[in-house]
Amino acid sequence: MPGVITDPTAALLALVNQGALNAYAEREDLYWGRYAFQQLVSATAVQQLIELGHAEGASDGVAPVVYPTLLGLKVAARAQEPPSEEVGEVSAVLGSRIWERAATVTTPTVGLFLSQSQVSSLLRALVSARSKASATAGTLILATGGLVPPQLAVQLEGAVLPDPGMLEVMSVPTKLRGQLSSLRRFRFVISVEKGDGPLLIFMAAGPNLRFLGRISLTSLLGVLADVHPTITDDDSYVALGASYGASDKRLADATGKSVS
Amino acid sequence: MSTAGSTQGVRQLIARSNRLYLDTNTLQYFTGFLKTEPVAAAAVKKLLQQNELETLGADSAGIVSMRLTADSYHETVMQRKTREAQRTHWQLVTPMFTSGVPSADSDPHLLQAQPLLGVKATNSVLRRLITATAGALDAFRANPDLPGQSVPLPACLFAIEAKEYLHSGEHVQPSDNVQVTLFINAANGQYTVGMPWNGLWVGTVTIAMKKLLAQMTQHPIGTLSKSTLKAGYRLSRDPLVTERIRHPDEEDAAVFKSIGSRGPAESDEQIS
Repeated sequence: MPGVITDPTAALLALVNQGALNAYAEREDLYWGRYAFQQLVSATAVQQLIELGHAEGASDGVAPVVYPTLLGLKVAARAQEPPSEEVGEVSAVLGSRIWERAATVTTPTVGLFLSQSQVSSLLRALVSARSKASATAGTLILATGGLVPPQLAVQLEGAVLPDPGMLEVMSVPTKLRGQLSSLRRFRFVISVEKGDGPLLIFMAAGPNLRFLGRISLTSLLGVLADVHPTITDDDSYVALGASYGASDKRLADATGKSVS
Repeated sequence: MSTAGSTQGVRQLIARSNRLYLDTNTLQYFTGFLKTEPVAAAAVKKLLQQNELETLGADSAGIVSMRLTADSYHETVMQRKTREAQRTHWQLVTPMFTSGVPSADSDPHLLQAQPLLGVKATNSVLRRLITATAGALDAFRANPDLPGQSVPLPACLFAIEAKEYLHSGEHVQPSDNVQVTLFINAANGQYTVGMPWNGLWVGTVTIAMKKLLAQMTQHPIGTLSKSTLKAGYRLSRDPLVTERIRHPDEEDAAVFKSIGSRGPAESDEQIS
């Protein structure tokens, strides 16, 4: 079949590029991107990757899933061109470890990748969104995130946020930041409503929005300030504090405004 | 009410969501998606005796899920024939898919249910859709940091089995009348619809604006006002709609083509 990847090296690059591969339900001999339904890889090539230790197999309860291993990520990094654009070092992930209930010893993590540049652009977008959200319409903004494969995710230490959305902030050890920064980035969408309503975070890869979780603006700003403390001097950060009326103590403390 | 009448009433009630649950902890039967209603055990017994129910499974909380058999569901829907003048026209009918992380409070039996979304083709609903879309496109043109907007929209939830009946114009009773959120992706010329669902999210696949707006012209004359049709036509000529920009994270149409499938992006779920 045209377009099906059979070469193991190309299959590894496709696996890393897609984040994870899923068996295609109606064809046992094919795998494709788990999220964006891109790139077809032959099951034989996937099996070779598993035997080489470049990939590990799992199941999501419905179909087989394959993730790259640490070895696979290293081999792929040597085989592919370095990223052409500066994406920034990811120092933390805001996401969930139980978003996918894949039956592996360790589970992957999906979430927002928080690099300094990502945080700055997220703040700018939040300021724009808060000024635009009307009483009848919310505003959508874009963020960047991705899938951290199980063998990498298990090495991230995190703390679950008190918000009911069950999101977790996971810090990325310095020695792993290079590997994490080389992972495939996916588009995420954040829905911002007027007032104090929670922000809804979705992964926007493939045919439908996949809900990651909800978080209050206060919590999100707290997370961003914890991960990149210098952003509290950012005009956008201060503007968001002002737009919130400094009625929240944590945000007021962070932005230096008094609580009324 | 006679036994037959009550059985028929229960059949109609179950058919709205086409889900009947038995809580083995309390031995109570109930039905529905968002608002559940109790169902009399005697009526369920009658349906079981007539082989009108099939079991779908049981969850860890001890809830057994059932639905009407295809024949029973068909008969129940066809008993609600409606005249053409009363016919509801639908702008969008499409399945919804759950996503998110189930919490300890989530009901496992509801996580398995896959509702069908119906958005009516009424003047007020489509006016709201057109106005919100035009606003989102203008906002994106003015500031690319604002790729889209979200607006509430009235909609109905049906049993997934209702799809073919809605397509053929039968009157099917919805399980719930709900307020959904319409996500307008101005940057990529697409819509998505969704709503909270038992602690998770339930949403549709993305739909190209061009396809949904073109659907407005397919409704019978008189369904929509001339001004709404004109506004819809004007919006459908917007360059962000006609020449929508595909995002690199969208599914790949070439991949679907090579495996002989139309794929979600190509599917056409809208009906008149």
